[in-house]
Amino acid sequence: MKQYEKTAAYIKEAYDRQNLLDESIAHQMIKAEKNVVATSQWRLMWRKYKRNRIAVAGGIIVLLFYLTALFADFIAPYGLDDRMVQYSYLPPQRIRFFADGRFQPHVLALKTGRDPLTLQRTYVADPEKRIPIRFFVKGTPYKLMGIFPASRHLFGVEEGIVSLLGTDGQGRDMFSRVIKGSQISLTIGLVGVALSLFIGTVLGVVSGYYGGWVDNLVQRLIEIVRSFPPIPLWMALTAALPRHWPPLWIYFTITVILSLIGWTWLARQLRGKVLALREEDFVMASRLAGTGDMWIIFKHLIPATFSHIIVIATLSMPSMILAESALSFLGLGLRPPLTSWGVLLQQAQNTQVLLLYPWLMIPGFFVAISILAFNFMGDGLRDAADPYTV
Amino acid sequence: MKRSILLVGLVLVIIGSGLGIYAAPKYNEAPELAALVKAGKLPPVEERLPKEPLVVKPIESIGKYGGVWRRGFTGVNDFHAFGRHVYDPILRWPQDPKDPIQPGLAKEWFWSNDGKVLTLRLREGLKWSDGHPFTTQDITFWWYDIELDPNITAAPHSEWIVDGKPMELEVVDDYTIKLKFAKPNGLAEAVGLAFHGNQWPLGFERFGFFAPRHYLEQFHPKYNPKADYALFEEKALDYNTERPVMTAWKITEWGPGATRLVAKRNPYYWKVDPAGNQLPYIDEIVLTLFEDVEALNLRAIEGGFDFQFRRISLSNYPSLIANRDRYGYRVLRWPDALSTKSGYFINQSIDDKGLREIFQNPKFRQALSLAINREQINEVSYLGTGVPRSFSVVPDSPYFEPGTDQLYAQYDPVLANKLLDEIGLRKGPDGFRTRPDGSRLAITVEGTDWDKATLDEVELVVAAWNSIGIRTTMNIMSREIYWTRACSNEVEVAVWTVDRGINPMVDPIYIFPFDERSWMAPAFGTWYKSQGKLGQEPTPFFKEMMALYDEFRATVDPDKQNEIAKKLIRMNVENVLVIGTVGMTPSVVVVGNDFRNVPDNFTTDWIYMAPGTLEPCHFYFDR
Repeated sequence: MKQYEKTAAYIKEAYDRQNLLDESIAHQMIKAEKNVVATSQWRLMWRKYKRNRIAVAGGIIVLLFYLTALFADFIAPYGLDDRMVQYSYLPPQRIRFFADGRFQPHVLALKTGRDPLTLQRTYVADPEKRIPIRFFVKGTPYKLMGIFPASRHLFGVEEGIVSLLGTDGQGRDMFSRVIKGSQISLTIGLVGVALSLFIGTVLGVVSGYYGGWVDNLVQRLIEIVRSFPPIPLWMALTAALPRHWPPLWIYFTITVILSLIGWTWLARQLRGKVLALREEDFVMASRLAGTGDMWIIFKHLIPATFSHIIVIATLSMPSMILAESALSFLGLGLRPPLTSWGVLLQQAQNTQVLLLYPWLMIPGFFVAISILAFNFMGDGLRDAADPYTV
Repeated sequence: MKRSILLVGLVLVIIGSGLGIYAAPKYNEAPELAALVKAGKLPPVEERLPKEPLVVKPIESIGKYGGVWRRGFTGVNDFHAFGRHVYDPILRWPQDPKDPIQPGLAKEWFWSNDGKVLTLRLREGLKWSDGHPFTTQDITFWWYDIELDPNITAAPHSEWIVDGKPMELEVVDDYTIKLKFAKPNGLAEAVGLAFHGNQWPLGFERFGFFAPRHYLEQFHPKYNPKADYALFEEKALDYNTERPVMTAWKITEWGPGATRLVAKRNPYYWKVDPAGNQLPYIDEIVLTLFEDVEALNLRAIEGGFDFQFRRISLSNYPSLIANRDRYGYRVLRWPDALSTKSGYFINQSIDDKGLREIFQNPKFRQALSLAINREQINEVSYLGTGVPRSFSVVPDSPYFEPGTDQLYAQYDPVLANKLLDEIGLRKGPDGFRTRPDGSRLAITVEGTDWDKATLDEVELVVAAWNSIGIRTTMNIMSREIYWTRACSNEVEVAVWTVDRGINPMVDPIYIFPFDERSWMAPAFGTWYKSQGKLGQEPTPFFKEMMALYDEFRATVDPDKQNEIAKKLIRMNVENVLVIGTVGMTPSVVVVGNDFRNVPDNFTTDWIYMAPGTLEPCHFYFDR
């Protein structure tokens, strides 16, 4: 009994505090006058999203990843075809930031050789010889975003090598490759999601809006597609691709394949949403005003589900990225000379890498980070998508 | 020919008299067999051995009986993992490739003076692993009921067809048989009796020279109307545990779903050591199945094998060395008779007319060869252990001519660019060359299932060709698709491992367009194989090479064959028919410290069925 009273008191106190807070918010809003009515749904969503710290962090990471991918050629110190064969299988280098008490980032020059017994490459740092890391150095020419010719790189060295994540067997800088690889790995997600959004939205809305046999047909189709286990299905589809196709075609076909399976989740959710929406007054009003189905779908229903679509899009990005990595890792997806995280990982799946060159597995870390970031961001968006509930 | 008879005779007499075989032979046997003899389940060793057993000269020392030899393999398609260790043909390849062919199941053989009749004399008293005598009947069974039966063999092997006529056999007695040809047959000894002279079918290879008549007759539709060919194939296959064999060990455990293959000692094996101990020394071979080569390599690193020759990747050498003392094994590097680990075949019969004209220009191929930095490839892909070289036979080959191995193998991009300028492939503003008519020039390099080292190498080569202005891309596909495309003349530049660097003439597909597998011009090869019925008519240059090979086939004089082979190989290398990069990369061999009679150095090649010529039957455990 006592316990009950205690709880009741506690609830009342909390209720009062909330009231007070609401009042003060209302007070502020009234003070700001216009904002009271003008605060849009997007603004409310943003406000709610901001409150979720992890989601914000995820969003920032995602943004950074895409910016890096966009400016990859500038940020990467080396090009994809820059082979520094004399430095093959170089472990990640240590960057030293201070020299003689001053800030002066540098790496040490390396003496290269081969162990006569094990035949392994050896690298001995020479503490006497410092190679300063310079910013905005001239390097391999490239075209920024495929348009602007340039040759300055964010950082680099004038002699020797700077390799933050080590090099692979051909002496290619892993840091540069990971960054360049992100272009494909991250865009395959974008393109794939865009495609599956298109299919999913159209089919989902149509299914929910018309109902009846259309609904039945689309829903059964979804069930059929979903009843396949995805990995074996992808494997079968990609295995059926003509293997003599140029790699770029393969890239696009794989995107299409991934999205052909990815749309079902979205379609089903939208159908549910539209089923509820079509009974709303504004749809009825529109219909009474004599508009056609297309108008209602595109002007009313799809905009009304927009927040939902964005959330789902964000949440399906990681699975796209993972799918690409998984397929490439299994040797069924992209292949060299294309460079994606999956391709990099595929080349790391052998005993030597495990025993001798573990840094070649680093792309896996980037896959994990990007997936986590997307997931956190998506979670935040989902919570924010409906700003009217707590 | 008289010389070789004399030589063989002399060797036999020396071995025979030296070991006192003609005196009262006294043989020893493995303890497990002695027990069986005592129990009356097996005849005594003197009765099991032939009159003149083959005496194996030990590589290190006379061994001890016993032990289980642990190895790994990757499945039914990896038959060589077993087959090459139990390779017992009619005539044997020599241990040193420069020596002549050695006696095997046949103790001697000689040609008639006109080179048209070859007389084979088998060892008297040879027995199958079930105790049944091995005679010329087993050879005639193979010839008439397997090789000439179109239900089993689509077309008899070319070494037995001379001048369009199949050979004729004349059985003299149980141990003597005459092989008769329409014209002198230069392929009979090396190709027919040594390379293909084993028990039919050697796994998926489907070649041989004998088969157990007493066992297989009951499954052959000709002798048993109730049998069918599928059953026959199943019973004749090497994996059949009931099938009698002539090899040191016989498969006793294998079947669908099995994860290991077990082979046990053949009590009737026909070889002895100089002390009269019947071979093999080792009781049993156990091959563990690995789905994945990486897993097999890991097992080797942790000392799971007593002697493993196949499937050990060179890239794992550092790890093997680092672990050898801990797990008690030694790591050997046997030079592999690879002309080049990856050969680049520029298809001179490609359908694209413009491309074909460019490809047929020797300067183009020379330029591509000169653009490659072979030292770099050797460092990146092969731990610096290979030899940068052209496509040519290895120095151990009887056909080797010093100098040919370095033709157009230097790194000289300046000269490469000059050669390309000379033949009218001008560089455009984008740094890439166009065809002489000004249209776009692009080539695709195709290959399959490359391991990491090969992929690294091909990427370097592609980059090198791009850097001299030849727009090059690469394309990797599964083996089946690649094989079909390459053989049907669709691949512009094919990449393949070029083995048989000791004796490429046994199956000369890499020397000139011999058949559709000669990817330097598969359509011309098809033309040659079909005698002009299919494919495309070759250029005069290739016709000259084909005529030379016809001459090679039609002589039994080794000196003349040698001369022709050298000439063909020189023509090939001078015209860069195949671009070689780095060859003679070592086969990594993992051998337990107590596993003996394994040499430290040995040139390996698949044609020679390495390590078969080392007589694995005399490997032993020194425990």
